[in-house]
Parts: sequence; structure tokens; C-alpha cells
Amino acid sequence: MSLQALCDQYDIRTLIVRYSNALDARRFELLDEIFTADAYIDYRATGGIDGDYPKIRRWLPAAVTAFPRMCHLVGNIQIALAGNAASARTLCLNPVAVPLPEAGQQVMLLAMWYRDQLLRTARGWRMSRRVQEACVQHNVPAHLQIPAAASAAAEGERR
Amino acid sequence: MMSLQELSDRFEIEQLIVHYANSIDQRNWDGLDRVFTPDAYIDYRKLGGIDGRYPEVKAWLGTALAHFPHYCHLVGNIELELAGDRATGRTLCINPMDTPLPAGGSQVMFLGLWYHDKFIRTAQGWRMSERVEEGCFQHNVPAHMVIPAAGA
Repeated sequence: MSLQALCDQYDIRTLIVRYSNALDARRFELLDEIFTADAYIDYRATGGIDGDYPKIRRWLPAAVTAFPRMCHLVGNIQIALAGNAASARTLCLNPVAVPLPEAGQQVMLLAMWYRDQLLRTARGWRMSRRVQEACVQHNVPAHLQIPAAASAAAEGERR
Repeated sequence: MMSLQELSDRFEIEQLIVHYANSIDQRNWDGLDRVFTPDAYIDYRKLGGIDGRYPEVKAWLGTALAHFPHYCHLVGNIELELAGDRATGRTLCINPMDTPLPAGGSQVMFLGLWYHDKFIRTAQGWRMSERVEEGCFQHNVPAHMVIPAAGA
């Protein structure tokens, strides 16, 4: 690889990590430096919403207050560079501590892939699209409804 | 575009963070001499450990971790800020720990935590001069164990 390609790969990996860290530290303002203003984001696979970045940015802080502790560990980052654009696929393991209606809490484990599109801007690489693809869901409390879990369960029943 | 020097610095610091995890997991305490500066400050209090300077913490580690027959420290989400011969880092760690139970047998608990680190470039390469733990989730912790961050 050229030094340029190495740098691009590194910068995009860092951008993907900074997304996790911004979310986990609940520093939502940092997302402004991760997404393009008109980025499309789709969290529906894990029970969230989809829409453009401003809509998601308004929705996120309240959506995650239900979860006092969580982390988004990313790995398996595969990046395809194409000049000033790129696409990436990233695996995310996402343990979430969920307070239970009665008392106490339960840690559920979600796994998902992020399918991203990225653009080189004057201020560095930015994410222009992030779509979740659900993988496993483990130990989800009974009172939580996660669509992908529900549809997977329904599919299991049909088999 | 980053220089080759900056890319190389970032790679070396990432390797330092991995070297820490591997040294701990292999109980190779002397391997940590290549990770920390002699006067590094380390704070494990958020997960029930001690804080202090490197020699004190190194002496404590062997005893503290002898209690756990199997464990590993998977690190990821490494975010570094470089400033010349210094750097700071934030790293996520997922830490499964096989914990003996008082009545016999064992139970695997999962701890999630972040490391907040400071690094310094020395004549021997990059070294960690500070590591402070921040707790995240705790799963399947045996009832007899008390970990401070669990309730926080």
C-alpha cells in the first residue's frame, strides 16, 4: 500500500472507533465530527429508528438513557477504498446493562455489523451512511422488545 | 496525511497496549517492565484493585491475580491522541475471569472497562506513564465477590 492508502485505512478505522467511544462516553456532540450533515443512519435492526443525521442526533441521547452502562466493541473492520470514497464492514459486540422493572439489572449482549459508506471531505473522512445488520442477541430481558430478536424468534417458530 | 513517523508511533503504542494484556494474561510480570515507566501511576480502584506507582502495583498483581485460574483481557477501540513525544489513549477491554466459588467449582464473570492512558516516548521506545481504569458493565459476578463499580 502507499502511505496515502495506509493513512486512509488508519483514519477510517479511527473514525469507526471514535463513533463507539462518543456513544459509550455519551458525548453526542462528537458525532458531528464523524457523520456528514446529511448522512443516512439506520438502527432499525436493533430496535432503533432510521433517518438523516440531524434526526438521529436528536433521538440518540434520550434513546440510550435507558441503558446506564454499555460499550460497543468493534473489530473485523474491512475497508474498501475507492479514491475519495470508501465502504466498510465492521463487527460490533455490544454488551448493555438493562435495569429491570422490579429491581437490579441484567446484561444483554447484542452483536451486529455496521455497513458504512465514507467520504473524504475537506475536514477528513466522514461517514455518509451507516446501516446496522443484526447478528446474535443474548440474554435480552423479557420486557424489552427488539424487532430483530422478535422476528428471529417468530422465524424459529415457523420452522 | 500522516507521516510515516506518526503511523509508526501509533502502531507502537497500539502494540504496547496489546503487550500489556498479553503480559498480564501470561502472568509474565517482568514483561510489564517493557510497558510502564518505572514511576508510572496505575489506578485499578474502580474494579476493586489498588492504585500506586508501578513497582508497588507490579508486586501486588501476582498475588491479586493468583486468585483467578483463567482470565483474558481483550482490548479494542483504541483511540490515541499524539502530541510529539507524548500521547493519550482510551481503550476498551472485555475481561472474562474464571472465579473459584467458596463451595467449590467456578463461575466465569465478564467485566467491561476502559483504560485511560498516558504515554511518553523514551530512549527505549514508547512507555505507559499512567493507566486509570473506568468501569463499564459487569456480568455474572459471583455473589461473594464485591466489585465497587458494580453498584455505581
